[in-house]
Amino acid sequence: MDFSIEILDADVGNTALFTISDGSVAFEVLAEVIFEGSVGTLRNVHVQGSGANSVGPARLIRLCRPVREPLGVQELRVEGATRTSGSGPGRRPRALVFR
Amino acid sequence: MLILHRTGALDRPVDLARRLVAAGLSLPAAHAALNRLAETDRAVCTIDGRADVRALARDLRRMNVDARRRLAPAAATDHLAEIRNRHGLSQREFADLLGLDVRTLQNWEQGRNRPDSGTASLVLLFDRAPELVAELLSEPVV
Repeated sequence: MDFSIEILDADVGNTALFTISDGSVAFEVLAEVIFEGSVGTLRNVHVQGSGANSVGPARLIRLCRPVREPLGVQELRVEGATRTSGSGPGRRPRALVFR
Repeated sequence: MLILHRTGALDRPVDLARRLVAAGLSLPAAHAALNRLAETDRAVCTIDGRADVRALARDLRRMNVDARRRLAPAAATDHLAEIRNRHGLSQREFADLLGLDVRTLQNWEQGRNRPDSGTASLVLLFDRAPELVAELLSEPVV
């Protein structure tokens, strides 16, 4: 898979806005990025696709998996923000963990 | 300062955060406001004084967020006697209702001192919703 990450904006703190793309689908992601030892966490993740209905869990998992290596961590946790639409509005999605 | 109220799903959350950044919020502050809107439907944020607030409100409405401008408490401090008289209250009644010292109220009305912004906000609230404020500041006896 042809995969790229581009950081669009990052504060001196931990918040970053970046895109992840596999060449056919691109997600824009806004999250806090936290490193604790060999674990990297994306917290309060908000995701936006480039088109309608392009942000689905399967695609999200497929695109998040390769993010672990460029971040240089052994474990990547992706903790979504509270949903406002889709399945389970008002709840936080289950954290995704990639090792 | 704006008070934001989410009126529906945030389908384009990153665009919303970008729009708040364009209005002067830092990226972490925009992210925090977005999180608050998602969790509680409301968020308070301070935008750049040079921002076009009407354009911002229009853009946010398209993203299911209503923006209301926080009233400046100073609006109340210059018109205390006028507000009190409009509601037909003596200085004693007004002071007792809002939990103020009557001498302090007299000093404010005569311009010797000014109320702090919290008290000014309370006076503004009372002016806009007197029955509600009276109800919220009291409880049934039985």
